[in-house]
Amino acid sequence: MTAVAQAPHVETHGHDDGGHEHPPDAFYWKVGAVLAVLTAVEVTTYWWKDWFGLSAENAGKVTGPVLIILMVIKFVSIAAFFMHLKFDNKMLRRVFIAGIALAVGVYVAGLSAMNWWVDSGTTNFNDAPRTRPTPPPPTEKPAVPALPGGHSS
Amino acid sequence: MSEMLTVPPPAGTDVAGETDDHAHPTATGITNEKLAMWVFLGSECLLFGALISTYMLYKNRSGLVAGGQGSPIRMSDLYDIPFTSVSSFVLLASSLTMVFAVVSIARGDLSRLKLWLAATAALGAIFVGGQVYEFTGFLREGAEVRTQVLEQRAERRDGAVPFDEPFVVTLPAKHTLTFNFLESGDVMVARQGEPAARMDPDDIGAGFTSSVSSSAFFTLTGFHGVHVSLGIIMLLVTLALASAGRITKRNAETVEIVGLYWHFVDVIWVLIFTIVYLIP
Repeated sequence: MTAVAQAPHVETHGHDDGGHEHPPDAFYWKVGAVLAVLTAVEVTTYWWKDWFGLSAENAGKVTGPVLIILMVIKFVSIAAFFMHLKFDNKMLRRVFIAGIALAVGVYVAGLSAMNWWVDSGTTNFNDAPRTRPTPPPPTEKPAVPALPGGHSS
Repeated sequence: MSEMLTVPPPAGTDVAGETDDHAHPTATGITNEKLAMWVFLGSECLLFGALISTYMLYKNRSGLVAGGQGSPIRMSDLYDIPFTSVSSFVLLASSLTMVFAVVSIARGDLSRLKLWLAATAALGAIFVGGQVYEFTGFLREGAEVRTQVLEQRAERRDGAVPFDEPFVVTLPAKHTLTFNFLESGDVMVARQGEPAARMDPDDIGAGFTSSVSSSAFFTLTGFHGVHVSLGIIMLLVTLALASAGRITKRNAETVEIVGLYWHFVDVIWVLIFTIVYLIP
């Protein structure tokens, strides 16, 4: 019970919980510039198919991973620097990451249950996965040759 | 028990705030308000995760696919990537100005705080205006396609155009829809290289209820737009409080908490822009 009475007091004026001062303005300008450049690179992927002569299918295979990587970098940068998560109490980081992890886990499970990884972008929604081979069609039973003596099985 | 509630702060520390808002200590070392905002943002991840994953499931389910119904137009057929890119830069810039607002009040600079808050709210309003313009553009383009198809049907019924002559519409994303008209008044619609499907021309459109694809799109982006709008209101209220002298260096965390919400809104747009608009 006395643990609460002896809890560290929080200074809430102008400082982070850890007592960190803010970085200089130039730091935030640099982070903003980096984010702007990354956004510009993301936008250019819209034209990579034309610039590099990629087919529609290959364009997705090339630009998809690039876009996801850039998206994650931007997400982490904004959370770490603009939202100050890098310099704040670790509990805040854990709370936020818990929410993200729960959301990603639940919705990856949901997409998997809906066969999204197999059927997305096609007209075969809810069809069986293509990787499972379909059984060969049944063939007619060959006629059994008659036994000597006129009997047949 | 009462001793627990009346322990004075350690010597040398300052109890923040002219009011009693931040007077009591916490066991975690974090103020309740800040922790509450982070917990709220964690829960918002689940909300937007649901909306984004629903869009991912339904984005290709126009009226032309099994399991879809309504308009043959996919929302991705109508995207104007350059315009949406500019919107993205605007929202990113607003995140930067928000950081400067927080830094300003942390240093006790009230005039710069008001400047940066106003700039953030203005950039946010520009973003929302861009979204409204974009969405009304989608509605208009879907309606134009419907009007053209209905006119073509009327011309075929009047005999001005041969009945079996197909009508091809090229959408902004360079995809084409080929319409073949039926005696019953319905049309057979095919996207390039895909099987045709039969539908009523009156179902053609790109509005909220036009197809599963469009519903998912507008729900996701609409929710985000509402979040941005609420953020603008929070910024304006904070600006008003700052102008009234209610925001000082002592209670600068108020601005920080508003900033957390605004940055989160920007972060969600980073996800939406990439997943919805850019990933093929």
